[in-house]
Amino acid sequence: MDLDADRSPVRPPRPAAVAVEVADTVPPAATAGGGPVPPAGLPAAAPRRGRGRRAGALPYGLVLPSILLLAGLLAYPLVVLARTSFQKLDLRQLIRRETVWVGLDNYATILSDREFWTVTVRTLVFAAVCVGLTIGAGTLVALLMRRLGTGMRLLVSAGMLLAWATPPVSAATVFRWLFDEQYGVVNWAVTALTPLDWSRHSWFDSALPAFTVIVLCVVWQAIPFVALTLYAGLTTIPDDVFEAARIDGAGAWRTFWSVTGPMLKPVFLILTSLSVIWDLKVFTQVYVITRGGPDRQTVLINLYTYVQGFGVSRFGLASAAAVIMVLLTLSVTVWYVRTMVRVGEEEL
Amino acid sequence: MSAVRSRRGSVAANVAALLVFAFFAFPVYWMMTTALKPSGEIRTFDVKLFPTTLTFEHFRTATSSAGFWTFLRNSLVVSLSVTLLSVLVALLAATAVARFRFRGRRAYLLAILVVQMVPLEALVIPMYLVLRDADLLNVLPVLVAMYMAFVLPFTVWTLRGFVAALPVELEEAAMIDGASRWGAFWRVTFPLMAPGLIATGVFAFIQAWNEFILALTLMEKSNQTLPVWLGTFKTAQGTDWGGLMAGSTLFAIPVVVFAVALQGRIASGAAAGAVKG
Amino acid sequence: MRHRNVVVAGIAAALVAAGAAGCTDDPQPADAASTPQAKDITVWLMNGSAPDPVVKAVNADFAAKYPNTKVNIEIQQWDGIQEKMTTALAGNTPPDVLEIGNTLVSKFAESGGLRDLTDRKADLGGDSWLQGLSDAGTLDGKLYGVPYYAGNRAVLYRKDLFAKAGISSPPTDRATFVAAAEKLQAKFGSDPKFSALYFPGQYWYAALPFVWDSGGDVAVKEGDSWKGTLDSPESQAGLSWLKDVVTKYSKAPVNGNENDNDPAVPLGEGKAAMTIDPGWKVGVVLKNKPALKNQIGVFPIPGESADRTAPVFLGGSNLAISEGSDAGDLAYEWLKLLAGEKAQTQLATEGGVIPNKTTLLELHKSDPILSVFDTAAKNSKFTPATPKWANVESSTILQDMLVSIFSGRKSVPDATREASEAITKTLNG
Repeated sequence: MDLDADRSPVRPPRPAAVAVEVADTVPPAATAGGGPVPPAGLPAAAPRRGRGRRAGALPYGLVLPSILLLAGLLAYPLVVLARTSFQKLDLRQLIRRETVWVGLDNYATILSDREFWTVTVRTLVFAAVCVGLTIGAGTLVALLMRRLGTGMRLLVSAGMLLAWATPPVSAATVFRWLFDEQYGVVNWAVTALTPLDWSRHSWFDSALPAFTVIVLCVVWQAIPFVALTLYAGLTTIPDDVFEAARIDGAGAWRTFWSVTGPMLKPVFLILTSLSVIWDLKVFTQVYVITRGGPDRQTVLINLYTYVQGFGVSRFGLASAAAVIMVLLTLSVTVWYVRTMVRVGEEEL
Repeated sequence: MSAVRSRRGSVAANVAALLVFAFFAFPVYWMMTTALKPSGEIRTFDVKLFPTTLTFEHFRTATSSAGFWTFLRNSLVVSLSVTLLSVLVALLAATAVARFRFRGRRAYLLAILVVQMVPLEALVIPMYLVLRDADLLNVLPVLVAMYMAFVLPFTVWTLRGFVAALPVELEEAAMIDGASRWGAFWRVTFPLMAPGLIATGVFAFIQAWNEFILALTLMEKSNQTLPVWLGTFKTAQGTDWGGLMAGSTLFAIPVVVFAVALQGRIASGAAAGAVKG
Repeated sequence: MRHRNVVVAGIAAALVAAGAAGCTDDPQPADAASTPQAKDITVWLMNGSAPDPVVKAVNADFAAKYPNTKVNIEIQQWDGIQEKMTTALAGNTPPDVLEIGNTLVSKFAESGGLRDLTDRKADLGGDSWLQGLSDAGTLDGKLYGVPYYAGNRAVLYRKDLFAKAGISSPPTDRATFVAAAEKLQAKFGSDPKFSALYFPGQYWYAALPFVWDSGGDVAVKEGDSWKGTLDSPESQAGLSWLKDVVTKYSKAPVNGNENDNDPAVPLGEGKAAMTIDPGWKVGVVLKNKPALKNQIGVFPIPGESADRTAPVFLGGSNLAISEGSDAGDLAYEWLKLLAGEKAQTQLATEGGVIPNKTTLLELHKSDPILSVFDTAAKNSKFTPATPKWANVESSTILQDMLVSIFSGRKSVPDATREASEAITKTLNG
């Protein structure tokens, strides 16, 4: 055994083995916006095999359908969205089909609203917390799954599958009930099992407890996707890598940071960036659980734009808010995007 | 830390596994037992962990509610179409990106990622305006196309990874043995792609299955989908909580069935891959 | 082999999708040159409003007059109805007749989506309409929404709990109301979950009667613009009184609303002696607890003095015709039937709601519960009849104000001042 090769964190696994071990795992789960990425990054380390052939028109033909779809149904509406953001489009204009241009008025209205900035900062913090918990807990669960026998592993997967398959509206409703002041199981359990009397403990009287419930609900449905994807990635790392690390005396912590983590870097990248994008957009859970209360202290940016726009039928304003949201998301994830594209580039 | 995966795992790991399972399963358990409780016992001071009386009236209400079967049909048609078509389109694109070098490749990858950041809700207004002027409102295939466009970025990126991992020599070996180019592709490459196709397929299915706001806004009654139906349990007479939970359980079942069934597929795909490997 | 199945399935799916779309394409109505008798009309009714027999009867009468016209009744859900109406009325094929919740009528009227029916008012018997409903359907003096039915609220109470607490008759004014609450609290207050009056904090429908009874209001029109008046001395007086009562006698969640924290539940379980609820809640309580059959009583929300009851918020719906309807005359004929005496009588007796004409209010005379609601409805008020009112509701200004008052986070003067400013801004903006 070549000890030097084993120490390398970027040792490429055999491509066929990749396919086998990936195939061995449960399909990654999807959350309300989620999706799995089995080791997109691992093949990146596969040895080049002359794949980068230039082949005339074929690749353009292959990407054409996707380009048509994306251009027609995402890019074009985006252009229309931008155009609408410069219009006054209230219910009256919508029904009577009038076009009224107001320049940058909509943007001015939103950007000069102090609540907008509060909400934006709050959303960024919220997303950071959610992403941290999701990725952290997801990693731990994935590592745990690696250490379980088949039966227990399937049990855990099944549990996660159930959580992910639940419609977000229903999940939010259930969480609202579990933490209900009067009828909730959580209060009842705490009162019964601890010296505390929480029979009328309110979780929704102030922002922090309310956010605890919301974060819990979001993370509950987000972890399965991350855990299952990471687990898929973990299975592609051959056991000898870990064996070598153990022989070298590395503890669990060190092994993760020096070996596992770097090997799964592309997976972590896409999981984190997707999580950031989705958690910035959280709407349903806030709407169902607190509707933005108490006193608008749990309003996140998607709910804010919804109320400012749809809620009062001011669609020009809503469009401007949506554009701002997209730009905001873009600026937060630009680092991830660039890194991902660079990683993708390296494969060719 | 044992690097060898023991067959039954350590005690600590198993205990942790049980706790993890409980964490994920409990709210779902609550949802399902609520669906089975009589209405009077759903919101009550008398909290019961295990329901004492069971009733199927909520499921009966849910399945017999107006339009349920129509909405179910629409949801299935839309979601399955999205799944199959988007995986197909994404596979083509992923093959191009993973196997060929062409001008604009980097721009294409970048564009796909950026587009992922657009929240679907933001597109409701422009899509409504565009479709209204084209008189294409309430046309179901448009919904299918929109969902396809929305899941494309993720599916292309994932399949790209899988395609890139495929060993070209295996195909070449099969062709040397006399198989045609397409034959080699179907018999050798395709099974190895199985996990990736399934993963992206499941993702696409979920997105289409759960989507609400576009279905509500762009479609009319007979073309609407199940998520809209879930809203029918909120009436002026308050919310039918039992019905809502029964509806939610029914709503979640196809997804769980879909994923669990595919789980088996993946396992057999592993066996095939092992032989080839 | 798997791949073959996939290909076949893919083609099948595409075909099914195409076929499904084809099947569900709405056939567009025939060219406008055809006679009115040959057109079809689409009617949107809200879920739970009209009992089936009423609709059937109306359709039968309509078919007798216009046998060649098909009537498509579509039942709509309350959840998301504003968005649905927006897209439908702005679209290319709006429904011909729609039932619209009365707080939404002026918003859609102002947008140009509804037809002006002012010249038909006499034909519809507009003189005897319930004032609250009629106001809701009128914008700038023009009629857009025909009153359909109404609902209001009164105080439901547990007769057995009253008896045990030594209360011989239902309260008739604020003073006796508080006295009754005191007695109930003394008798049952040892249970920390017991509320003499169960009042979730966001329940603004139940809070406004006290504001109105004290002489205050949500907003008044001054010239061309609106001014929020919840901070007027009268409004504050009503809210202060309510605050004292709620803080002292209600254990309902301050952040809760009447949907998530249904007052019918504690009432049925004996954890609440009085709740403010609409009439059909009685049925809900009895459905869950049939043993309480004769124990639920009702009295109107008391006014400051025994000679009057507090003005109630008149909920309900109106019927309108869309501006874009291509069968306006036929739509009107159908609407007229539903708003007419025959259907309204049936609606009142079978549906248990308040009909649109004051002359029909006697139909519930013999019903001990519904007759109370009818009497209370005679003194009714409505929220400002302006298109922008819907925005006040969706911005939850009233709910936020009440919660901050009841939780003590803001004083009554502060909370009402902020709410009034917000309301002024929203109504004029």
